[in-house]
Amino acid sequence: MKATTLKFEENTIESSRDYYRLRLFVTGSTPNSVRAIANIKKICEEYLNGRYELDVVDLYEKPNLAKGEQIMAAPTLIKKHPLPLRRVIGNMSNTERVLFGLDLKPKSGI
Amino acid sequence: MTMQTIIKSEKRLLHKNEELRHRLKEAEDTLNAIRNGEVDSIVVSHNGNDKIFTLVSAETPYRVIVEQMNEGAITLSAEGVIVYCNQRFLKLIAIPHKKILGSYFSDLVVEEDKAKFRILFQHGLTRKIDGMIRCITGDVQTIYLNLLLSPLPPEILGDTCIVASDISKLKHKEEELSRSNETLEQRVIERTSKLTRALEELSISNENLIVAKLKAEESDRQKSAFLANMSHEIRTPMNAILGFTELLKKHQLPVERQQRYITMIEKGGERLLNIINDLIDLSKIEAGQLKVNLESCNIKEQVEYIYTFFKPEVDQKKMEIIIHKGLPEKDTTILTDREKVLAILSNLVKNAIKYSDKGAIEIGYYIKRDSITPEMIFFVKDAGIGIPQENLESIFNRFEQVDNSHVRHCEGVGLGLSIVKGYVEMLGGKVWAESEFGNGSTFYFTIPYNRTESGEIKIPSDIVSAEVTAKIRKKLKILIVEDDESSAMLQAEIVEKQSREVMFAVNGYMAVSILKKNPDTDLVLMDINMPFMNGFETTRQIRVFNKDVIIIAQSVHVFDSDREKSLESGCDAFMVKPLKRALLNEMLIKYFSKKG
Repeated sequence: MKATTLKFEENTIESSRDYYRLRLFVTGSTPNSVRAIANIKKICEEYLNGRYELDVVDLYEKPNLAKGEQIMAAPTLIKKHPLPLRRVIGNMSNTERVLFGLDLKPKSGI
Repeated sequence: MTMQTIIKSEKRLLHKNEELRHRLKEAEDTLNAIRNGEVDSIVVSHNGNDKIFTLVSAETPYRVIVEQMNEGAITLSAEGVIVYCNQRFLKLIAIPHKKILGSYFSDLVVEEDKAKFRILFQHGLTRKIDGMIRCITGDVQTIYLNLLLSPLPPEILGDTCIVASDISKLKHKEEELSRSNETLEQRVIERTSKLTRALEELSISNENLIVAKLKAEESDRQKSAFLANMSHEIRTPMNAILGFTELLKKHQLPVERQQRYITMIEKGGERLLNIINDLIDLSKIEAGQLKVNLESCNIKEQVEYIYTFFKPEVDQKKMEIIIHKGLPEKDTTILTDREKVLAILSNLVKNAIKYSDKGAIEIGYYIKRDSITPEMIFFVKDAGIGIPQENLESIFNRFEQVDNSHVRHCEGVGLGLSIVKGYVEMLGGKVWAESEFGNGSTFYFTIPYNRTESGEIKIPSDIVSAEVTAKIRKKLKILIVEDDESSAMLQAEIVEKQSREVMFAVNGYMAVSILKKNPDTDLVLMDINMPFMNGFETTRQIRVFNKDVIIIAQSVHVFDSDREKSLESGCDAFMVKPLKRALLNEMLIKYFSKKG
């Protein structure tokens, strides 16, 4: 019974509006891809600590995943959850724009 | 339309508006990101297929790395044609860029490694593989390359890429190492064989040492034998001398018998003197103190002299002596040391007489012309007891005498033949003997045949002149300087007939003092070896005040240095002790008949 409870709890958290599922599309270890991975990790740790899931996809390895996601360039970050779906393009160095894309408010005064 | 419906639709429109604004912002951001260079690749949909185009800027680091790295980088087409290579590879292969692009990589590979490369390449199209091959460079050097081949994903220029590392230096080091290993092995082998040789040499020198030791022992044995023999030889005449002297002293004997005893004593003395002379000759030969005095010498006359000298002795033994003249008389004058030739001949003839009791002793000489330098060969043949074959060589050794225990009882200490050998070798010849034991022996010796024209030869003269007294001007006043009394007595005896007065000095000081008082002294017989002041110094002091007196030096030493020193100090002549009457008489004639 305990397992069921845990699953329920997980489901609750993951489906809650506070939980973020993100996917970052990169191309190998190209300079902006590497930078983007580092930047988004930093932002997530700061703003979504403990309530996010980041999935990094290398388009060189899995070019087919670009299909249907309407990816135009790499790196591209997609907020899959909570809806609405949002895209942020670039190396994620502009934190303000990233936060805007994620429907998050910047921490004031910092 | 109710108010509520209007509000609802308004809300939807607002939401849509919001969404659209958001999308616009997104599009704007995308454009900005591309403009700002924050994007590495563009995804393009083409016929339902997404294609990813990586921007040049994104590839720059890789290009820099690939161009700068210390390995060669090459991409090949499926046919093995070079479609790309980096700077490093161009440097390695030393072929210009234009020429290498489009050529087959296998053309660079050495003939022996081409098959190996084909296999590597076939595998490299589908999976990673590595291997070592050799390539020929543009400047015809062979380099060793370690190739790492990896297949390339499709849609990229080339089908396989190669990373090539130059391992030539390593390879050369390896070869050098293996070579030096080989030379090391070679050196070890050489060293071992050297050691083996050294060991062999050691064992040989060991054997030589043993032989030398045996020789030393043998020579020691010979020395002991010689000493025993010598002491016997000295003792015998000494016994005669002492024995007969004793007889002369004690008994009142008839004059005849006295005379006989005296003759015996004289003979004993002579024999002793001969032994001592031989010893001195030999020691001089061995010390290298003898000089060869070359002079014109008539061989025929020397042989005749020997004949005359030994004839009485041979007659006495009822034997014969014969001369074989192998040369016309005009050819017998040669350049050699007369004294030594005489000594050699007389030693050989003495031996021939000593060791035979019958038959003839033959002396002869002839010329051997078949050698490069002509040689004169002498021989002395006897019909005596002969020499065993095994002793034919050793008889010339010092101290060696054919074992005499049961064969013969002859006097002699075995020095004669070694003196002969020494003299012959000094003259540049050789000596040997032929013999059949019991059937006589023949001794041969050679000397170089250096012919000279002059036939004028001094005849050796050891002749006692009975007319000395008549020949010299007057009876002489003589001073005998001698520290040994018996020696002084003997000298006085010898000069007795030629003297009107004989004075004695027992040392140099006395001699000087006597001479000062007696300026009319005619002759001084000066002993060299005296205590306190020797004969040289005494002579020097005498010469200060008396330049006229004839001084004859005497010494038991027969060395040339004594002769020279005595003449230097002012002596007129030098004589070897004991004084011989004949020689002294010759001197007296020389010095005192001229004056008259």
